[in-house]
Amino acid sequence: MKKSLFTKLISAYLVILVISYSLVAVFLSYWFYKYYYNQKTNSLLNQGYIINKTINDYLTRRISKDKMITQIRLMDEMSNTRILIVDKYGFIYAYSSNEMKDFMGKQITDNEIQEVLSGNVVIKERGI
Amino acid sequence: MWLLKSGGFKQIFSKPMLMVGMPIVVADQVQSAVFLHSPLYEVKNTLKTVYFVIWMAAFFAMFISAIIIYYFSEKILIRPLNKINSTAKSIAKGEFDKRVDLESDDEIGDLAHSFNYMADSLQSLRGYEKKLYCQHIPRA
Repeated sequence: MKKSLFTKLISAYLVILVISYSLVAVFLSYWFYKYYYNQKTNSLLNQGYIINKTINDYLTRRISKDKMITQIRLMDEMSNTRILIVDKYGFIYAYSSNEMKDFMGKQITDNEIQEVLSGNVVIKERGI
Repeated sequence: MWLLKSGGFKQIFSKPMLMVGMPIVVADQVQSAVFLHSPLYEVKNTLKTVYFVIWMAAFFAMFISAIIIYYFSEKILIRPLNKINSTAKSIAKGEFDKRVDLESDDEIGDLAHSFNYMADSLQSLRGYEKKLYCQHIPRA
């Protein structure tokens, strides 16, 4: 079957259009994912700094444990963030949500614990 | 009473999480650590809407561009070419007074101009031939 010039032109244009717009869409999707992910990480880091002060106050006996727990629970509910506090050996001594109730007093043995306890900030995505 | 049992974050959370861990320093020593977990489904749900908007925008852009390209390539290329084609066919059938009526400053316009020039030449040649033929036919 003879193909007209018109069909050839339109098909060529369409192929170029589909490829270029798909590339733009893929790039934008990836960029948005990275952007939103970074925003979320930054907000977690900011929350971390605030909790850091609270825990510092608790460890230096300026506030009671109840007050500290109330504060971290409030933060959990406000930003839908599960907060766990561990001591320098990795034992959990405070949590923000009841879903972690069963793990109170247990030791976390993940590698991240060692990394954080040696003074580094750790950011990790954990898929199940 | 504190239960001494080892475990990992995987056992605590059943859903994928974004985790940030921070040391808590008291008197220049790491005394404690805080771990913040944000469920990843929250990030993914928000992004779903964004992805939908991006892909819909891409789809509409493709659709609109295709219509524009269709319209312009028809107007600029296909219609003038069809005009030249049909005129060529008419001339081939013997209608030497037919011309292409096209005003365009591109290659198609040049082609139409050359085509008309060729048709003029053919017409004058044909006239000349007719004249010669008439002169040489013995009068009855």
